[in-house]
Amino acid sequence: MKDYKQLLNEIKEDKTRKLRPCKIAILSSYTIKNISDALMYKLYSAGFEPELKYGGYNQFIQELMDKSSWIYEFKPDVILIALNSKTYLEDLEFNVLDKNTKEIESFIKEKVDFINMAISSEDIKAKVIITNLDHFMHSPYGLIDIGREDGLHSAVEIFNKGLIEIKRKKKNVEILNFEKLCSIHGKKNIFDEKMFFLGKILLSKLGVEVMAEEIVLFVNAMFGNNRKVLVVDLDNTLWKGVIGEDGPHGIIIGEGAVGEIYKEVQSIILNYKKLGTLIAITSKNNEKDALEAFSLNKNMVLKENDFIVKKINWQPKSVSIKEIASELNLGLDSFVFLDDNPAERLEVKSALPMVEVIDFPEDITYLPSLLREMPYFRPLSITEEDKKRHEMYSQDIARNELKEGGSIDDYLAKLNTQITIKKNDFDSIDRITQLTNKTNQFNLRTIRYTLEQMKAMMSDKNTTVYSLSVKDKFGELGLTGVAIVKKDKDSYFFDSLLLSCRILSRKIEEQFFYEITRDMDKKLTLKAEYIPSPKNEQVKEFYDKLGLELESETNGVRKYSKPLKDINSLDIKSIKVLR
Amino acid sequence: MDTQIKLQVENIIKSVMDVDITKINPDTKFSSIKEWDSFNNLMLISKFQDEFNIEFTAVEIEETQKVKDLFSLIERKVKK
Repeated sequence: MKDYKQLLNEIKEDKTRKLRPCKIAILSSYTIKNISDALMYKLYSAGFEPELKYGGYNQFIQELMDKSSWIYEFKPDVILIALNSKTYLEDLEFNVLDKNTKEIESFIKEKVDFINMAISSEDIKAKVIITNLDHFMHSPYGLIDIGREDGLHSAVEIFNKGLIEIKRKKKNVEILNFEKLCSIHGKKNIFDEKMFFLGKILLSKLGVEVMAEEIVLFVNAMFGNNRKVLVVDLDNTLWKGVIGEDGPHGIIIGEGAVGEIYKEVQSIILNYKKLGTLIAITSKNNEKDALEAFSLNKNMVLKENDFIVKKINWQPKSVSIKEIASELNLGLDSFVFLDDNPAERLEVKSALPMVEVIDFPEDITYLPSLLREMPYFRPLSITEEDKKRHEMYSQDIARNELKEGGSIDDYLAKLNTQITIKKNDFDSIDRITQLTNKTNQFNLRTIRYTLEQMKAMMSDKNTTVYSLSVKDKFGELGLTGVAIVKKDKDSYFFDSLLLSCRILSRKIEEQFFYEITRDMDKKLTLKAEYIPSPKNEQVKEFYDKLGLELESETNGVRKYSKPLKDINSLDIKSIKVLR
Repeated sequence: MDTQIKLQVENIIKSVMDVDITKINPDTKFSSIKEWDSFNNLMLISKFQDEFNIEFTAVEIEETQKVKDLFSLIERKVKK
């Protein structure tokens, strides 16, 4: 087992990494403090600067209900509630024989209600992760427990269903499937019987490790850190064999044991694609040969048009990946690379350290589970935009082709751009929140918001959340811009202004700004601000270009203002506005 | 006690507990050391088990009250 204390000290030494602060309140029905080193280390590795605080042993209900408790002072980003059947259901194992079905059900219902009550306070702004309950390892009913309505299995099932009901009603709640974690690794391995008796410490070293990993998946997703593109090699990665030598019918896919494994690999990748991950090819082959694998081999699960970009050539793969990034207008830190050839992996790793390179296993048997378990593509919500992502990006590529040759004005005129602006659109709150979390380049202040905060702003009468949807002759670009405006007695302030890179360089940003100023009382003043981030240099002078007066600049933060009566809200000819 | 083992034990105590080792003598009771709560004690026990590849019984763990009890327990286990 790894020495996480030492690893943690080492990773803390590295001051060059840019880390994102993250506060987690850990509440539990058992002692879980032994997760600290592993969880801290894994959070650091994932790019966070974590601060963990623990609740008292089995006191979380009281602590959550008490507004003066440490939790409300700590203001965590995430609250983890770790439960276990033996502790949270108290002595059920020992008094189950004395209870009838009805008594058990009402006991369980009360236990679910406690959780529901505890997390229902308006003052909980954090995301809440609750673990479901593990099934008891033993029941006095023995072999017949599972079939009984008054048995322990049934009790835990009812509890876990109750938790799911809570999750469905509350957008800030996620369920960590602890029972599944237990069944994957085995309770005899991830529980520590002796430590449990001695100090109510439930999890063994392995238990702590797998639990920490699962928690990091959630935290990562909650902070919008998922990646967007999976770049794959072809030969011996998507099938066994070399297409240029074996031909489209000679490569192995779909038939025989190895063929079955590769078929699973392709199916898993296709599932990722269906949920919004873009997939691309980098392969050293003759393009015509390689594409024949897709058109002529009937066992192929992935089809040629599932790939958003194909770089089938003889140049270094790092060069191909860079080209893909620029064609898609995405940062290299959105990329994951899969290749069986260690030399290619090394080349990409050293040339492009921001790209995540998958450790391809020696034995192909383990590739399917590795692809299923990798942490990079784990959304907590799936929006319509996510499902349509492939289609949208292919339209983008068509737009870029239209742009080549011809003047910019011609291009804009040909596009037939149409924008729709909405205010406080609760129906799109998931997407709006998601954009505030993942937009980096065109983002004037880079303030990240949680769903709870967004809800509060949309309901606040002095705050307006504007959202922008774009459409053109090639299709829908979807909801791709957000502005948050806060009003006080003599001014309006642009708290946030951000646009997805996909819709830039067509003057939409200017029109969006003008449309918002149209809503404003002309007697007041407009205030705005640019806060530099490592990625938003391109919008440093955005407000200058719109004619706002730069009032001050301290540590790179540029403050602007202008009386609204002096702002002339223009109409850009090539854009049609719907409101 | 074997000086090699003693040194190793002291190092582990230092790394897990963050206590000033000079303030500890064989007769010190664990319950008298501020940093030494029951959770830390168990983490320490578990570290000893890993480092020396030994296993303590629940009774042994509960009966260990003083620093010297711990030293002699480890010594006994390691020599077996």
